[in-house]
Amino acid sequence: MTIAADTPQLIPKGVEYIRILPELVLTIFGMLIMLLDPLIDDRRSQKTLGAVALLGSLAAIAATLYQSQFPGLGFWNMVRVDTFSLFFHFLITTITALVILSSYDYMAVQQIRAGEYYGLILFGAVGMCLMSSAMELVLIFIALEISSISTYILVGFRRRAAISSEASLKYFLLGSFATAFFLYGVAMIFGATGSTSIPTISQILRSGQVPVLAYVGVALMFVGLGFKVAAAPFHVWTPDVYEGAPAPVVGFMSTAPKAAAFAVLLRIIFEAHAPGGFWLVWVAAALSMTLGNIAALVQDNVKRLLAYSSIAHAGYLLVAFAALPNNGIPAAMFYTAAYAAMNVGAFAVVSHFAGAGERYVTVEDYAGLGRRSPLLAATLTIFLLSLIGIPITGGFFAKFYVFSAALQANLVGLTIIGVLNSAVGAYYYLRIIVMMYMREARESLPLGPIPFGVSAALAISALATIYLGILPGRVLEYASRSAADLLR
Amino acid sequence: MTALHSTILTLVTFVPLAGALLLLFAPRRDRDIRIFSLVISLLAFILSLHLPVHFQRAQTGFQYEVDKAWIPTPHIHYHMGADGISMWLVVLTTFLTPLCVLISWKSINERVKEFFILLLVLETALIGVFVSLDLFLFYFFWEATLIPMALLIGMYGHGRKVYAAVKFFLYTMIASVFMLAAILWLYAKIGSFDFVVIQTAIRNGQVENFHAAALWLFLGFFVAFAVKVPLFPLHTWLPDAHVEAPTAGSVLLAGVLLKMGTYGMLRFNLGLFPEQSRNNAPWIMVLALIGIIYGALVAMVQPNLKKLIAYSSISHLGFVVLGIFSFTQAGLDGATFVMLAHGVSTGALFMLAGILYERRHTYEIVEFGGLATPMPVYATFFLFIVLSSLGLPLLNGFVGEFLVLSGAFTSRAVYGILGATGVIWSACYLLWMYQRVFFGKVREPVNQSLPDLDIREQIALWPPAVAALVMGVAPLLWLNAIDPAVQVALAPLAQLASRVVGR
Amino acid sequence: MIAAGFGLMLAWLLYHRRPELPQRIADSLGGFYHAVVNKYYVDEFYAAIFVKPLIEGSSRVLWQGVDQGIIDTSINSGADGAREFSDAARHMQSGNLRSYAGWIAAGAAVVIAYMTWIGTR
Repeated sequence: MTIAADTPQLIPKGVEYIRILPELVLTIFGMLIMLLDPLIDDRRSQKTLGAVALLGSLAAIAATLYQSQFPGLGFWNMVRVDTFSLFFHFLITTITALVILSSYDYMAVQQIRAGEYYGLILFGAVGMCLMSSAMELVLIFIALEISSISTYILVGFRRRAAISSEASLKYFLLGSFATAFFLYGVAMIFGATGSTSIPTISQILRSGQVPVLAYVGVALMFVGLGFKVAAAPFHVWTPDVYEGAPAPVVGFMSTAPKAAAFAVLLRIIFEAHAPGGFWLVWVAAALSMTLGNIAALVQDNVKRLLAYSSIAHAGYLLVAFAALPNNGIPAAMFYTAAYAAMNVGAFAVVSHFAGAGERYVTVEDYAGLGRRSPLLAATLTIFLLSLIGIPITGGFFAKFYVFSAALQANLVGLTIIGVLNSAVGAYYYLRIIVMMYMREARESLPLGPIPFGVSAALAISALATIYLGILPGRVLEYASRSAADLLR
Repeated sequence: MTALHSTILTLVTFVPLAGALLLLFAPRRDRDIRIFSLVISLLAFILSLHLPVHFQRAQTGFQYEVDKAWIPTPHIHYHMGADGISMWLVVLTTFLTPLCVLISWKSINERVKEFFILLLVLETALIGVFVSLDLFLFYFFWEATLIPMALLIGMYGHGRKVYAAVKFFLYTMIASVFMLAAILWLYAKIGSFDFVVIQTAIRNGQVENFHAAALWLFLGFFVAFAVKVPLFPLHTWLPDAHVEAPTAGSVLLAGVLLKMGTYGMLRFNLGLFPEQSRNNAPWIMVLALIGIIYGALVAMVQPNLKKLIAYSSISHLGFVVLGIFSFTQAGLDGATFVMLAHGVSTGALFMLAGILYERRHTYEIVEFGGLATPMPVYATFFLFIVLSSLGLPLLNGFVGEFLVLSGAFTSRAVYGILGATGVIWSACYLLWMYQRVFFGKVREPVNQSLPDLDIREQIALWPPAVAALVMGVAPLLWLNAIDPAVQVALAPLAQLASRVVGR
Repeated sequence: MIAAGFGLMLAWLLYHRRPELPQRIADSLGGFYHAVVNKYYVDEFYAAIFVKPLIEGSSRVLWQGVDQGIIDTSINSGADGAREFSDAARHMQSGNLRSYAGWIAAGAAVVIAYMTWIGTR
């Protein structure tokens, strides 16, 4: 199946606009929110703007689906719609919708009045979506910056909490530092190949001698992207930033930009045939899994615990990168989807339970939740079981595919490390489950009913997690097709 | 008939789960919930009776098979089947579950709904383990038993219940990830999870790198099973788990969960890796012997009744492992029989302990004494089960242990002799315990007025007592199906053995 | 049969007709009688030689020594070790921004050096 390449012209044809339709839709809705913000009455602004944002993300999902009928290149071959980009577009826009749903009541409880929040989420999503369909390195950089800047600001949204501003500043400074590495890497690749277009780079790198500069370029880009996905040894920012940021933002940050960054990494390593990545990925995977799991064992703050957990999961994902492309790419894609479902859900619970000022964020606070709010506890249990990797949940199949891919490439050592880490890692997730069901709550008052936004987010995430755990076949098949597209 | 034939296993496995799902939406009327659970578990039992009734003894291989493609990539099939061994283990599970429901009638009063949901889900997972013929499906059900059991212990147990539950969960889970690695390796090389396919591929030497990896694969599976059995020295999770678990939890834990380990050894270690099994048998049998003797000796000095029974389980299951790795017809026949007999008698022992706990809220033996006076019916049941557990001829324990010992003796005389001493030790600790609890004067005044068994408790205890007797006097009813399955299992181990049943 | 009949007669004689006889016979037999009454002290013998060491041995050596002392302790120390390791790893997070940047730079240096080395081989 060949994707028809449109002849680049000076003025983009109509169909090319469709190829960036989701991004356009998100931008328009984002701007709409920014415009409406000063116009709408302060008291109602949260609900209305939130609804507009939700509408925007749903429209973006629809746009993605519509877009699937027009695969191909666009905008001077800088953007490509293929099954790979569609997968990530769908994933990112869905995550956006879920995060908006779980932010709805969070904003009201935290008394944060700012419509920009929703606008920023949508703008961030623009960047992330673009990252997955960009075929040109400078565009990737621009998209990366768009998504990063939005998240820098979102992290600092709890203005009254010092920890939030601190997290935002840290993220901004370190993130810019890392992105600079990425840009420098792009420059190196340009120097090595004379082009920044991924297909061209791929052709040049496949044929003949690969200049040293290309290796260095890949190394630098790996640093930048490694930071974004929180892989060791570039993970140090994660615990502090996750702890400080508002919980729904953490849910957003730990899933969507990671998915986008992994998409870029997949494109660069496999489609552009970047050289020499194997041991790099191997070490990064092993380090991330081990460091993340071990550090999480003693965490008492749930957000920090989940931060270290996301480092560990980035490690598991990276194992797929070390495997053979045929199996590794679909496994990695499936992992991002499954991880997104469980993490967005987990943070939705955390956001709801945290209460005003994010008071209740330690593991002890969750004691007796099984009795106080059975539904909340049950859904959190589903997500935690998925993070452990128990059968019936998406997390199990995600790890399963990754480790199968690794074994098929004879990476026995890495698999053993991964499997042992999974077992050890079960402990800290288990602690929370134990706390919820087997310990008595300090306050035995039952929690109120769960508001609509949070329930919707929880229901969809839980259903997605279980769906991926029972019928993973279709998603995996789609991912395999994307991998085939990528590798042509 | 054929329609039922291929769906019966699905029905038996998932009826409890269906019951659990229905309970999820049921209103919190405790009495109705208990009755419903009883009905569902009895239904599962009756359905499972179809299996032995229509079992074709002459047919080798797996029966009641159902094989449907489930997940295309990787190739996972919903493949289930039962042979003589697994069939009876399924019936054991469905037999014990209604008894668990009965025994928990009065003792579980809080969060009753969740308790029975967990119990039924556990039942489905347990049955699934025994009938899965697809390795992935097997692992799936294997892991699926962990959460309900851990929650049952941690939520409804006593004492250090959370410590026991977490210890149980982590211990078994960490061990089973090695099995997962082995399963994944096999899949990577063979491209299928199907047990029969993998077995054939290994036998025909079609698996690349097999000889280099074989020992590790064997050990990967073995470790997971050894922790479950439990085999010395990986047994320390069991006493804690048993002591703190609620009665129904202990019954299923000892009665069925432990058999998952021995079943796994029989089916997978022997079935897939016969050569490695043979090579490693010596030290495994030594560990089994240590388990038998050590378990019995430590049981003797336990002040806590439940811990005593727990260590006795370690001792009994040592017999099973001894029988399995003797690679003789008698040994394996006996091993399977001990699995069933132990399930019945130790399950009943835990039920009896639970009945006592309901009255006195303690398991400490010193708190009792002379109980035969206020509770004669209870004492009689207890004695009957104790005799069955220690292997009195005419009761079920004897048949199994005798077969195992003759098999072990054939394999290596020393093992048989040492194993036989296990019978003596078990008599020691069981009878001494019985004497301290039931005979003599009533030491504690409060024991004088203890009520004897009521109707419900009697209804729960009669079935295992009758089963123990019938299994003891008519073991052929079971061995008829077990023997041919054992022959098939032993075929690759190429050891001449006369058909025990045919004699 | 004859022995049984004889025993019957003897018992009738000793316990019924002449009840003072058994006591006098017992006294004259002395120690031997005590041994027989106490079943040759078999029970006590057993208790001393077999039962007591068995119980003591099982209790101290096997249960407390092996089970609790060796096996359980080694598992618990495994868990403790993991916790200490974890604490150590946690202290890598100093909260200090410049040290974070330092880690990133260090990681980058290693990565770049490695890739350059591969590229020039």
